[in-house]
Amino acid sequence: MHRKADILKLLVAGDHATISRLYHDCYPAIEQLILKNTGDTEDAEDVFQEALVVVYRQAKKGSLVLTCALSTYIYAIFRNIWLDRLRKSGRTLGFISEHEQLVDLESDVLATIQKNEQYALYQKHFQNLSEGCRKLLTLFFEALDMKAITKAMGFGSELYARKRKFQCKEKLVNSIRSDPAYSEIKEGNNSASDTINP
Amino acid sequence: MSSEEIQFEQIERYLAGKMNADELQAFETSLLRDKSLKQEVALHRQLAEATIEHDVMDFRASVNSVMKDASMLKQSVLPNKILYLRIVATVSIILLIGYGLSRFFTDSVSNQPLFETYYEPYDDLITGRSDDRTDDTILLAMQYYNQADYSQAITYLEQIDQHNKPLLSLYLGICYLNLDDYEKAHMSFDSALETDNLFSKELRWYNALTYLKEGNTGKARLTLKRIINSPGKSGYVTKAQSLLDALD
Repeated sequence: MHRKADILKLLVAGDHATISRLYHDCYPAIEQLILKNTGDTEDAEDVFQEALVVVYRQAKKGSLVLTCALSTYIYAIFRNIWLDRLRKSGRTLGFISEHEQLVDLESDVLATIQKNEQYALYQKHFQNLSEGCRKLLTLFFEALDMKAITKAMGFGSELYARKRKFQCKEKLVNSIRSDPAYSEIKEGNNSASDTINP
Repeated sequence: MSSEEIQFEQIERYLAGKMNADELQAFETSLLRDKSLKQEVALHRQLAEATIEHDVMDFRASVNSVMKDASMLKQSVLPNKILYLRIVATVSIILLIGYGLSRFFTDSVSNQPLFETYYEPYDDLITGRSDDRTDDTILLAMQYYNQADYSQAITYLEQIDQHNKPLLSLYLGICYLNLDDYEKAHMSFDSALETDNLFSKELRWYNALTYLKEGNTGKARLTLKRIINSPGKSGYVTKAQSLLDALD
């Protein structure tokens, strides 16, 4: 039987067996709650996925010490994500499971949940770009200079590289802006500081 | 340039700290007054962070893959014993044929001249980055790489966690290739190719060159075909076709 610390290490390493075990342990309860609260299977899968990503983010920091079962922690994160999504869509939580064990999440976890909701949206649209655009933007955001980017992409000139970079970034930004979920994030960007680093 | 392009460049210069004092003051005054500009700056800053979180995106893909497998298992009908045995038999025959073909294609004749025609080290994209995120170990490794001192480059590259760093795995594999340590070269390339990444074509190209150099022409061909058939335009597709034609 793995200790919690070992499970977290395996999770951070993306171990399929560990993820699978957590899925089988946690997903049924999550799906049940969502289906009873105006959601569908797609919502349940998405929220479960993002709850695990939040655990991953926290575990990656190296300072996560669980004082409860991992499944309880995941459930608390999922519930927070789902409540927030219900609130933003004007719906309310109607059914509460009799078997819920709730834990209070610390403020840094709540901040990670918020950050993850934003970044998941951006990453979804980023992955919908063409391979060429993704590569170009990755090189740009990795702070390579335009000369290196021009060479790596096999472009004829830096001028062309700059043009393509703008076109790819514009495509990304426009697709994010047209996503209804972005309007909720925008409000958060107005009030919060520019850098969100929980 | 369009007004949007100008705004993008301005925001990027602001975020990169490249504005002079006057420009910076004027821009920050605008940020205080213009809510939509403030939102745009926040978006650009967050995009710069979010889009290089390849490990998070890979992790999400892993979770998605587990959920898909679980869903398919729920829907599938378990094979009966006879069907199971038929599948095992078919797979065994395919494996035997594959083994025979691989023996047929393994070529002990040296491909050295062809290798030398097509090989050139991959450019250093790391040294000279415009920020200070690159640590000293990587810079030292690249210094030795650029000097073609591949043993020393390996010493430093091996100290770095290669997980989710396909570019570093690429350099490491190329170092091993140059030292004729084919097994370790393949390991470096193959481990980075376990997840889809933006350097897949480069990794496969140098993997193919490794097979070529070690005399495994069959596997070199298969890897080159994989590059040619992969989606997306790239100079590596042209190079792979050219080398494949030369091998044929």
